[in-house]
Amino acid sequence: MIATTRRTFLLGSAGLLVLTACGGADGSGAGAGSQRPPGPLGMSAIPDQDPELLNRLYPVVAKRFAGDTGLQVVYRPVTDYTAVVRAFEIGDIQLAWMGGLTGVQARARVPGASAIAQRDIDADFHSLFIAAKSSGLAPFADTAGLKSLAGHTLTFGSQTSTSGRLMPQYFMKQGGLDASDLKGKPGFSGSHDATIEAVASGSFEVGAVNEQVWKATVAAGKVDLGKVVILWRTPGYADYHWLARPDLDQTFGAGTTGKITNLLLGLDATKPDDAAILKLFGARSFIGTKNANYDQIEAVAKEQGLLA
Amino acid sequence: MTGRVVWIRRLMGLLLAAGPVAWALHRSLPPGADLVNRGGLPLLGDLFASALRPSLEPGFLTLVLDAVGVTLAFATLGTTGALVIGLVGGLILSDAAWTRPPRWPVRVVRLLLRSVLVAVRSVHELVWALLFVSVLGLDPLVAVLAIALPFGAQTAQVFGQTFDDLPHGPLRALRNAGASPVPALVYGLLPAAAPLLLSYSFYRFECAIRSTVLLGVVGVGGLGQAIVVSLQSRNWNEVWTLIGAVLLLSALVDLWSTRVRSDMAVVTCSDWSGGRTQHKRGRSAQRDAAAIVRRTSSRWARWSALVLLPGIIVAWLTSGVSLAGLTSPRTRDLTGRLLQDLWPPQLPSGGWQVLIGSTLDTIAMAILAITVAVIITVALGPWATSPRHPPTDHAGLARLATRSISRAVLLVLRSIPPTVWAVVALLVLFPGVLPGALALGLYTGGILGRLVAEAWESIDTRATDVLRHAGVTQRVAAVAATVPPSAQQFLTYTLYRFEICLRDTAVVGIVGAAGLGQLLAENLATFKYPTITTLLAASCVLSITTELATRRLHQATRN
Repeated sequence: MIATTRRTFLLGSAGLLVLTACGGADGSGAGAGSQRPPGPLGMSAIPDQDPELLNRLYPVVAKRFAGDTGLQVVYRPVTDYTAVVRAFEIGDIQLAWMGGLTGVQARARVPGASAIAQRDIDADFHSLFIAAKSSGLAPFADTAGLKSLAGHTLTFGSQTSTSGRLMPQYFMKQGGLDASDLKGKPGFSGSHDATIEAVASGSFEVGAVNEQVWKATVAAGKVDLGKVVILWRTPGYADYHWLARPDLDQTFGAGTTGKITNLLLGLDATKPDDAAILKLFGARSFIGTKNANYDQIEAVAKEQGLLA
Repeated sequence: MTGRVVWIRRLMGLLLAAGPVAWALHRSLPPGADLVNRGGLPLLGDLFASALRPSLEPGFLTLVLDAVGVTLAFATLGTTGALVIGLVGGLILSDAAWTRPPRWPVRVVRLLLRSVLVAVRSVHELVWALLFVSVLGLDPLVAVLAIALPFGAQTAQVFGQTFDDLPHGPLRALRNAGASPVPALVYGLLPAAAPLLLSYSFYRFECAIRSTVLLGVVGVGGLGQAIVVSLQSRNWNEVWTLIGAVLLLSALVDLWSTRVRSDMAVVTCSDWSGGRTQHKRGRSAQRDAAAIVRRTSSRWARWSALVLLPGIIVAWLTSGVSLAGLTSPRTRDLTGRLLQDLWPPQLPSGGWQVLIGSTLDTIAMAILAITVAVIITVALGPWATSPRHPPTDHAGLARLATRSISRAVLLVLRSIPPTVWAVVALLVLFPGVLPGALALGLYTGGILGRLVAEAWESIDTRATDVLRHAGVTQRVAAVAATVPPSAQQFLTYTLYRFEICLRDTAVVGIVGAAGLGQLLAENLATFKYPTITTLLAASCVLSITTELATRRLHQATRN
């Protein structure tokens, strides 16, 4: 009985190898998504905060895009960061609101994709290190202050979040704070909202969070400021942006990318409809951007092994 | 065998069990660090308090109802796919279906099929789903295939075994009389096998519901995805409503499936889990066959048969699943691209040390999880069995109440997906092996407890009766007569669930616990496909090694 199974197993492994090898040889790989019949234009966003907010915001944006381009536009909610990149890669979505890192990842997988617009706050974006008051930690003024976090528990947001993991981890390294200096392993709460909750409740003493989500949470009165203190605001870096697939014009008609870019850049805070959208994004306006603005993020991601 | 040898053997057995547990504990406890994250305790309190206030907003309830429909549809279609694979695979694998020894090309194909099936089932549903998402995109077919493939592989093995265990007389007779193979199978083998196959199908459907909920993590829709979304926004009131829906659905399907199973044949979940054939000790096959024939006219089975086909059709129509994705050029392109990305395998960053470390973490997590599950089973299992002799007095009523409560607890434990348990565990434990083990242990405890309770119910009562007639008190008689025979079954289920636990570590790894699962999640997040290949191969090897090891252990203990 055992002997048969062992032989079976060896043969099975060989079979799998052959299968995989065949696949590797014949898949030409190129052109994924290009043969897709033009359906509705798919749009999505990384789930970096409260899905309720995302589900309120993006259908409105989709409607706006549809109105301005005359195309059918659908918002496809996705529950994890990686899935957004993957859906963009295989052409299930053509337009995506990406984080700095997810945008770089997506461009590595879809050559020719371009960053078209960002919010006014994204060119100089910041992360915050926040702490539970009960931790006894005091605010500090520069990167070197991060050393004071040694011996405390810390949580990041999602694994591939730029403002919740990548840049905070980068500054920690610069400040000479190693992950092994912390108490226990760093956690991954999954989203900025979850990080704020974890710190406010004392589940983790320190958290790395996106400044804009923090401000929105404070403004909404959803965090008890008697329990949480801001330790440090990181230096600025480029973050969120809209990314478009290179075949957008080819699939949906020449000028589609341009129309969407113009629409975003033209959103006007003095018009009520536009203001509503801008407010949900936490911005006053959208500005143009280009791929080169994310070179720093790309370099940091490579250095941290977060980019294949 | 002298008494001394028996004791030495028992001692060895105890050491054999205690050694790994001690090792796993040692491995998962970081030296000098705190065990419990005390900061999270108040949050845990709030969380359970919010269970009393589930969200009941009409808008949200509509969403829940919709999610229940999607989950049911995916589970139905996934099970149907698994049964098709299982029936075809089972017929090819079983010796009975071939009547005369097959020629060598057939034997080679069979061997190949058997090994492919082993490999397919050693990869967790969730990992299948993640791979299918890369190829099919955001398509409901992902959920169906992710259930159908691994479940189909499992089903083919069980069906093959079932065919081989049946009396072969009718089939032989038909073949010898000159009937061609297909009609011979249809008239000679299937009628006798049908009750068993159906009973197993219902058991699979039960498992499929749980797995579909799990798949929500990758965003394929249904109750699982709704739970993930509410969990992300930390809206515990909504999470509790959704968990209530999962509970209700599981309870109904459990009940239905148990009814059909006990009507069709005297086969329970525990029989299927423990390898059905061992269960029929002491009863003649003929008596069983008679029981099967007599019971096929059950009302439950008839009703089930009536809703089966319409059910599948409704599931197909409502879920929007289409097979077009399988043959589209885009899928072919993407499959090619995925395979190209996956090859050649590469070690994770950190090399062998990291790979071996994570593998050991995975093993430690599974050992601790099964320990937690065994503790739960021993604590709750005895209370969850139904008494043999219907009690009459108010002591009987109390017994009934404890039974209902312990059954409900077991149901809750297995209905809450391990991913949710992991999120809860991560509130009070630091990330690592422990929260993963606790989460998996609670979930597995719910399943193991039920299996063992079921097995205890079906133990032969004659020994107890004899002891009671000899003047032994009922309690002592029950313990003395049930413990020795049930110990063997307990071991069987524990080993069986241990294998599954090892595979399930992938699930809690994905939400950031530890082990190969976490490494897989990290590499999936950064699209390092060559490393993913290595990790998949590592979990495959681990699964197969465990399967061989537990089988050997099993044989050793049976002698």
